[in-house]
Amino acid sequence: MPREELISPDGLRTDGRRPLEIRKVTCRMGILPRADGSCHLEMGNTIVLATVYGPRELSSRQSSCGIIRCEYSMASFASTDRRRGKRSDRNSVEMASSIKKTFENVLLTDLFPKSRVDIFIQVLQADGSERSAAINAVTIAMVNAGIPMKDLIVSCSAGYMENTTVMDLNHVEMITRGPQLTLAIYASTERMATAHLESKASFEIFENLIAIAKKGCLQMFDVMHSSIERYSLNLIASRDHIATFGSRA
Amino acid sequence: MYAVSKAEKAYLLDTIETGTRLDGRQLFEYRPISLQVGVLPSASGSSRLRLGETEVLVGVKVEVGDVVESSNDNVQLLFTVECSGSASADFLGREAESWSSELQNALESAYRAANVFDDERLSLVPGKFCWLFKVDILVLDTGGNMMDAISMATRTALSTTLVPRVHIVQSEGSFELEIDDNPDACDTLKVEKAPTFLTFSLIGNHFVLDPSIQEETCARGKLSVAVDANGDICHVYSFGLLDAVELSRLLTIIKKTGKVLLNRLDECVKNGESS
Amino acid sequence: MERRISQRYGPFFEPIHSLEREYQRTRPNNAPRSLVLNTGTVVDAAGSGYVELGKTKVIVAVQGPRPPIRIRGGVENTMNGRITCEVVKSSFCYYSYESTRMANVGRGVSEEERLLSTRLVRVFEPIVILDKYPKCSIDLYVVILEDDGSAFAAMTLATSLALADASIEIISVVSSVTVAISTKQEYLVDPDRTESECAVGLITVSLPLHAAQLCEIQHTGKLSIQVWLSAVQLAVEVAQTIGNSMCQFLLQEMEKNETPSLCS
Repeated sequence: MPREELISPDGLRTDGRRPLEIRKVTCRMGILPRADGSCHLEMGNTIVLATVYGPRELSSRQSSCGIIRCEYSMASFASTDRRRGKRSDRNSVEMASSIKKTFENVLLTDLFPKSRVDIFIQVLQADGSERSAAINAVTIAMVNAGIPMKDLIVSCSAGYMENTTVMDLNHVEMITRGPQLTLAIYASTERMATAHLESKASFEIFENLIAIAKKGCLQMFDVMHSSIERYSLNLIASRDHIATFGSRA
Repeated sequence: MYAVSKAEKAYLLDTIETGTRLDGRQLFEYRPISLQVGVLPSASGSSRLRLGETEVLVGVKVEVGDVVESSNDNVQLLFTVECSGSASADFLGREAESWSSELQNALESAYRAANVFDDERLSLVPGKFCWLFKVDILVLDTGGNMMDAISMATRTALSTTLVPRVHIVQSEGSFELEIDDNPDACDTLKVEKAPTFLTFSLIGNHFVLDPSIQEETCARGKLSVAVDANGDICHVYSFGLLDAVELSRLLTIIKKTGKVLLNRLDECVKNGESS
Repeated sequence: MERRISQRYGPFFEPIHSLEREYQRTRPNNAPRSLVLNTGTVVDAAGSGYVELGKTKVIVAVQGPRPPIRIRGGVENTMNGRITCEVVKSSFCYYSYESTRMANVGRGVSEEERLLSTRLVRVFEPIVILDKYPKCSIDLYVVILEDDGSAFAAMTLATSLALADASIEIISVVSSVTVAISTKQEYLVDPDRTESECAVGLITVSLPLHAAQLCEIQHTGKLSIQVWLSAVQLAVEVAQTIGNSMCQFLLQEMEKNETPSLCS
């Protein structure tokens, strides 16, 4: 494959963004009525559907705090080359367990003992940064399901190529195998929840990546926060509507 | 499985005896269908269909493959049905495999019987190369009657699939295929012959079309029939004790409803709206 | 017959139409093939049945009711009994055209076998009175020794015999028959393999006797509604006759095995 220029002389990336610009994020909550919480998140061309069921009864063992189960799968049509990504695929298992660990620290598990929360992540289209998209989608799905959490987790990826640090990688940039960091932070305290680094990076580059990824996370958080607000206001408005109707009758 | 209490079940049976259903539909009425095509830019054809609460996403990928065995088909169809874990935690493990292989088999059998793609334009090199259509079906939400949703979504996805034009270069007995990279040099498929499934549940003594998930749980029998535009039956899948006399009555209804449904689907795709 | 064997070993890519031209059906269109029934062939099993439909040979063994081997989670699943089934096609049975494509010989259960198992369970779920066997599982083990067309019909007949032999409570004996619609629009009852493969459509009907109902219909191929209906009606009639002979056979077996009463 011929080596494309990832950053043009004007400073634009392959999809026309500036290095410190995230892709367009749209998210919709509550799209699956039968799930407790669901979220359809699009970061550019990466589309992820996260569903949360819980807290549910735990059949097998007794535990003093809640248990989280996570499953990650990529649809067969997700990437351009059709790959049958089964659930027991190594990549999927690793993603699932790392997302599970992230959320184990954030959910207030002692508030629902002897219960379990099931997280299902389905990647409908993969164009880079699937891990961040998955984490963001799960956060919003948790909010939709009303499961108590310490804080919201936001995630963004950052990479270093051609002497520039860029934010929110797409597929073309991810396969270059340069230093890439996926960072997840707690939204209000800005502390790190999870970090995942691919390839090796010197210490300065690593610090740089963290700083840029944090900025990306905060930008992402703005978008997510506003869509959660919008959804909640709609809910309240519809409830008000019903209340007034009831009082009239 | 979806749990229904005895009281709910009794209530459902009584309501159906009167000729209406719990959500106010008639016995042979479909739930509202909403349809979107072209939702997956990375696939050659795709569609997302919502039938009541059931949601299905279908992606079609087009490849050129070697001909297997002696089939003279121009096209090989490969169906894969997967139920997303988000749809239901019951569809995991071995159960899921047998359920999805049944559906795959039903679709394959119906499409093969209907001989959908015997178009001359689709033949590459008979005996050596043929088109391989890989249809991936993902069930996002189970709300009853997945068979119908899947078959409708597959038909619409295939009708909007773009097949790239291929130039066949023959040199010294061996063939080389040059696939046109130009995204505009594509043909759409003709799927008038493609069948669609109509599913009936036997509840009490009545057949109801397009069962919701409560109706499916209370049903003591099920009949899925694949019909094409002419009203010919391409595949039958049945379950439970079915009355033979009722069947003949049903078949006229199947023929009518099938035609109406297929017409509506084609119209919607042409007009580019959702019904 | 010899020519057919050499075609088997030659290239598999012989077009089917050539086989059809050479083949002549020796019996009338609506007569099934010769039927051989037997029970008690597998001594170890609770009940067993053996059916020969012409050259198709199927043997079924029933184990149960016994506690389920694999416990699926949830108490609600075991309140009613369960039927499980394992179908195996022996390695020397004739391969149908489909299975040459789908079978993975020697690598576990092939997809075709799994489909046959699910179908057989579906036929017998409403027939066996599962309420009487809570927390138990009835296991069916089917081996198709030779498949010369109508294998599924033979399987259903053999399973009915096996269940009766094992004294498992069933609503009625199930009889089953296949009808093929040939390219000349004829209805061929109980087709053999050549006829099945050349047929435009194939319908297998399973029905419990003494009830105007159908257990299951299987269908391949494209048929218009009238043709489909007439084929089903024909199949129902023939299945009734087969079922009656099965009942007679079971009664004879019962009389044979009756021990003389102690006080005569």
